[in-house]
Formats: sequence, structure tokens, C-alpha cells
Amino acid sequence: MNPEIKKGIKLFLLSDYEKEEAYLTEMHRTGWKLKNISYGIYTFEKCEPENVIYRLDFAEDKEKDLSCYIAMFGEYGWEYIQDVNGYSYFRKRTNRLAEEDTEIFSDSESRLAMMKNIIDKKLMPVWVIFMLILVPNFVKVMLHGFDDIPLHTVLTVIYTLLFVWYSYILIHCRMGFQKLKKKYTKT
Amino acid sequence: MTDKIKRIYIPMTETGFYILFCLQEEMHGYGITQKVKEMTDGEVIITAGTMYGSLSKMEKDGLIYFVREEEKRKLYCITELGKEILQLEIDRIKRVYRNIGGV
Repeated sequence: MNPEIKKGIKLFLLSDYEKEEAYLTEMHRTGWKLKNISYGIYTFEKCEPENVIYRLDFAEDKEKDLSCYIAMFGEYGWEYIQDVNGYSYFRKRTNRLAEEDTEIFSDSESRLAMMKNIIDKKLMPVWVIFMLILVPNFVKVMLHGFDDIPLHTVLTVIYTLLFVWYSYILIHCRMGFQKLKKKYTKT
Repeated sequence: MTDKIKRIYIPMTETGFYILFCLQEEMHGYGITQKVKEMTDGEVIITAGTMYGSLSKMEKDGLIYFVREEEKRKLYCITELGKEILQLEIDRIKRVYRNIGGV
């Protein structure tokens, strides 16, 4: 008999990786084990409710030795699930584990280094697109205003939506990363 | 030695110090974690993400080099530059120790 399946759509912005971990851990605790993630669609499989902790890593240059990378986490007891947008998803059963065994980072320097990696590799391109493409085009369509040409109206709507969406991502991530940085430097 | 490398690594984090110290002989990531745990009576635990990130960074900065792969385990060893940095850090720690009344 095939296990019961549940699907859901979730938005995961760059700075929300700790929320992602907490969400997946909670799902497993209530009997839904992550099967895979594909284009923002999360597929879960019904399972026994268990304390399984989920962790996300963002390692630079791991592509060239992905199998060694996965094998190394395996030695520490982490099961590799998959990669999504540069993030590697891991999980581990945590019954009777010491606290240090439930973390993939053991000092704040490495937490900060991972954050810096995400900002350089993922957030910077968003900034570049925003500054070089969206801002100039948004200004342009705003200056033209609405006229009778349908194409112009369509472009205005598209650029306005994109401008708002990218602004939201950038503000959300900036605030998120600042909060994480504060948390990491305090401990 | 470049001043930049010196500035980044000295003073060293406890994690960084033990990794470099262990790599005076050829070792792989998980082996280092086990050895450091043993050396410090379980006080210093280096976890998977921290280990992978530290090894990648040290390799990139030329403090350690990749020796060979053995059953999916990557073995590393310290370089001449790594030895210099390690020695500077050892001298620094000894000075701290002297100044707090150790011998």
C-alpha cells in the first residue's frame, strides 16, 4: 500500500532558512515526513510522528564533490534529502541526542560565514537585477504614464508588479539577515 | 606570508586552531572531530557544517591541501603556510598563558 501523500505550496525566501528548518521539523513531529521539494511544491509522506530535526546548509563549491560532501554529513549522522536553490537539506533522528549533535554549526563564525555566502551568491544577483533592470524600467514606465497603447499598459503593470515583488524580497531578506546576524553574534 | 591571511587567521577560533593542529598529520573531517573531542574531554565539538566550511576555506586560503580521497573521505594535510600560521598562533597562546601566571 502506498503511503498517504500531502502536498503544499510554500514560499521560501533566502533569509528564512531557520524558519524552513523549524517548519519541516514540526511537520515530521506531527507525522509528515518530507519526500521532496520541487518548484515550491512540498510533498510529504505520512509517517509515525517522530522527533526528527531538519537542517539546511549552504556550502560554497560543494558541487564539484557533492558525493564527498554528502558522505561527510552522513558520518555525523545526517541524512541528505536534496538540494534546493543552493541549500542542502538534511535530517536526523534526535531521540536521546546531546544538543550539539542536533546542530550542523558549532560556532558563530561558521554560521556567519554561511550567511555571507548566501548573501554573496544569491542575494547580490537579485540586487543587480533590481538596480540594473527593474528600477530604470519602472521609472521609465512611470514617466510615460498611462496612454491608449495597450502594450504600454501591460508593460506598466508588469514592471510595477516586478518592482514591488523585488522590493519586498530585498527588504524582507535584509531585515531577516540582520536579525540572524544579531542572533549569531550574541551567542 | 601575506598580511591578509595573517589578519584573517590570527587570533584563531578554537575550531580553526584544532583543525589546523590536527592536520599536522593527514586526516579527514570526521576524524578531526573525533580526535578533538577526545583531546578536549568532549568540550570542543566540531559539527558537520562547521567542519566542511572550515576545511574548504582553509584549503582555498592555502593553509591545508587536499591529499587524496579514500572511500568518499577527503584527506587533508597542513601546508608550509599553514605551519607558519599555526606556529604564530601557538606563540600567541603561550604568551597569553605566561601572562596569566602559567609557566
